[in-house]
Amino acid sequence: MNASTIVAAIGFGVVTASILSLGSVGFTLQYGMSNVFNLAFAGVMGGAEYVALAINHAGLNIWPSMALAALFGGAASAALNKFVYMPFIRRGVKTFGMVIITLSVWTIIQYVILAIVGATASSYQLPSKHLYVVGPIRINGIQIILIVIAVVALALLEVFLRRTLWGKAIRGAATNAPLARASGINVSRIMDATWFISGLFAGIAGVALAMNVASFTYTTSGNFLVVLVAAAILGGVGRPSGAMFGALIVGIATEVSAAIFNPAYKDVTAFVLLALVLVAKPAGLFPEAVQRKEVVL
Amino acid sequence: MSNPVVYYVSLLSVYGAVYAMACAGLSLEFGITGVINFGYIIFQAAGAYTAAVLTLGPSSPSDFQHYVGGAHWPFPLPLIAAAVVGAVLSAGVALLGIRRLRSDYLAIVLLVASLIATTVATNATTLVGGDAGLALVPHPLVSLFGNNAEGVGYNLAYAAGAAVLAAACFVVVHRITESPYGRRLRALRENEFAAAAQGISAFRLHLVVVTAGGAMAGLSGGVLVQYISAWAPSGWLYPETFVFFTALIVGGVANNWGAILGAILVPLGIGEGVRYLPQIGSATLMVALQWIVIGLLPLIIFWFRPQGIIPERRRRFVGARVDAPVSPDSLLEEAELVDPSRMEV
Amino acid sequence: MTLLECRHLHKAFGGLVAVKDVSLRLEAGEVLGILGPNGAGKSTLLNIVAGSVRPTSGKVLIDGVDCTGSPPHRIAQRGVRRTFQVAAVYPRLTVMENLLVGLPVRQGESLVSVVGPGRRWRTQERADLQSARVLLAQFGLERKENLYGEELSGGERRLVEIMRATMAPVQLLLLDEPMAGVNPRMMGVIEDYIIELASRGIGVLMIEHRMESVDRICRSVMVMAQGGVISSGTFEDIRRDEAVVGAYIAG
Repeated sequence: MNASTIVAAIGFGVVTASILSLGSVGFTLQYGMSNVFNLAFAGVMGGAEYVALAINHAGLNIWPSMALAALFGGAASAALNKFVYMPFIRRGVKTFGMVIITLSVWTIIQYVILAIVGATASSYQLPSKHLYVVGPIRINGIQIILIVIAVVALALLEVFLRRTLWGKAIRGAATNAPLARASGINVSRIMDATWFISGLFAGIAGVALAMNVASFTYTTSGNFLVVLVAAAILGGVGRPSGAMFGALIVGIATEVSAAIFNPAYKDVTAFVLLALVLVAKPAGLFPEAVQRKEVVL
Repeated sequence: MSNPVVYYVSLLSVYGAVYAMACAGLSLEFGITGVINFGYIIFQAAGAYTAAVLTLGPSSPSDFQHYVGGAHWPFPLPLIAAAVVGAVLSAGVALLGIRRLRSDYLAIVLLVASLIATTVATNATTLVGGDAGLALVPHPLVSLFGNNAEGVGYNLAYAAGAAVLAAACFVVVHRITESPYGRRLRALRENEFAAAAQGISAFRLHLVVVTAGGAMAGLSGGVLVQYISAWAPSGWLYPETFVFFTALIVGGVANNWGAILGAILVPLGIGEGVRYLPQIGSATLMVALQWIVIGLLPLIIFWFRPQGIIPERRRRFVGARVDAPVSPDSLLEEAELVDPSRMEV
Repeated sequence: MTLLECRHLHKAFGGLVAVKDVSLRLEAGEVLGILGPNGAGKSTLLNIVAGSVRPTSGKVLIDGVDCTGSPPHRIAQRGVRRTFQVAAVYPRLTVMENLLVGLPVRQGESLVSVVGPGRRWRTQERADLQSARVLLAQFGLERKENLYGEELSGGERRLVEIMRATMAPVQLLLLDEPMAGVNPRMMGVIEDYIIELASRGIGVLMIEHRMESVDRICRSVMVMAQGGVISSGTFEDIRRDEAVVGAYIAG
């Protein structure tokens, strides 16, 4: 093990971090808005993976397939919130009940996928990958595009959240819904929009994840939850910009540790990081507003 | 000569008792105290592993399986050790996480922990036998039955023993719940801040409860592994915790009978009941359907009957009628007549 | 010995200053009212005394002992009880259980003693039941003993919350808007009870908006606005203070 292995690992880490950031930002957006850890996020990712697979195998190039899968992710997430989560919240289910509900939904989605697709692995039909070698870093064309997509999507999101009226409304509603409502903001519509956007990210992340591995199964997105949660919590839940940094740290750390230690323990590294953060700074490395204790209505 | 029916019945009984024991521990943690321990399965697995290793004896390099530790402890020491390991691990988790984290935060961290645990167990071949797990775990006290572990006598005795242990766990949980201590636990569940404002230390009570629950989880794992003689990571995956939660939610949260009912209906009922259904499509499909049903159950219950099949009992105290004039200030729509029932505390 | 003393309490949440250099003294048997428009920092002040918020600077002394930064359950163990803006009765515990939970931990109530044979706590509990019932009867709630907290009306919840707070030996009571949401008939009952508690030597710190109640039971009053104290004295004094009037119109 030498410096060039580490540098190569950092290269992989950047790719992983890009995919991870898409996921962790989406995940944290949902938490920020609804104060619920939506475990079914992994389910939406999984669903998008297979939607893209179907479209891709039907003949469409992977990139438009990804776009369509993203739309699916957005619609599925928004529907999930509107037709499953919100009704339960209105029925009076409290925070811990909601976690179980999201776990239930995730379980259902995961096993519906299994029922439809079966246990065998699948992969996309990708355009041929041109391998670029920069010193010790080996990266192919697909991965470069993934990084670009991630950067662009995240930049657009930041601009949207900070500069546009809708974005500010989202941030307002996320911090203080009653106040937002009183200011005339249609919180329910803002909520739908937030879930749709975060679902877009789920879709892109799912497809990107599946593109970055040799083959994927119905458990791939579920296993991703480990690094996803680690990145989101590291960055401070509810805060998209924090989630990006969290993703960067977790992505690079896991790849470097895979180079130094056993690659099978990548997730363990993420978990150790998570545990360290929870012990030292539970609010995350970039804490934002006070954590609310009740579910937002 | 073994009797297949007896064997099957005792297998079911042992499984049932093991599930019930695990549900007892989780009921204490989750139903009574409100701790969402999504990593519960880890403690059961750890207990099982402990019991297995402590009866298998030390592994030598020429063995087909490798693991850490190993001894030939006689019954009941491996079981006790299993409970202790479950308790200690649980306490460790509590010390790390419970103080600082909100309940749902903690829940997903523990879920992630159980995801990791599966990965570690599957890959750590020299540590825990890897993907294949451990096999040929000896049965306890077989010598009392003529060394015939397949015989009717041994199987029935094992099932009876498991049932006794499960009952003991429930007695413990019952005594805790129906005492002032249990009342404080429930107060914590209802509103941790109000409880703190009354001097109730959430951290200390959580620690105690999670340790006790962990002990029961570990014990249940030990009982199971010494019966089925094998331990594999695939039997203790993260969705298993979800099965236990579903069992409690369906059977009735915060109610001992509900926990037993849930243990029988969900892990036992759905798990074993599948064998009797006609097979539609492939085996994979059946597995998927099983899990889809388990996933749907909490949703259905939360929507239609959130308190579960057997809800938490309303606790009444003896002599609930006070000889005092009714004050005109009280709002008197006809309050429910309080029956001077036997003291139930 | 002054029961409660706050010295130059200051609390900032990020850039927002919630409590600005607030000092006060409360003696045993005294009822101190805290008034002020919304957002003045009253609840934050109460939370600091109760231990759920840590002050950025300043000290809280209870019975002369520095309790600054102690967690809420430790402060409660010193004989401090509080109520919340929204009455925090335990929803799925009955009224009687709510009251009994308020009792402090006695000897022989550890986990081991509960699980083992023998029920020493039962004798004590029988006595506790009686005292709880007497209290319930005083407020006319004796027939509601077996209702769940969530089955009570708002005013009833408030009553139970206050009763629960006094089941334990209390020396300092922190009340956050006790009259909010209470039936006018019951307000008098609560007021009488607070007066009775004070006469027993319990110190009461009370945030309240209802002026009639404040006038009736508070010996002294402190007005807060924008985190700081703008006036203090008797109710008569502050009523005439122009700064107070201004704060209410502006706030």
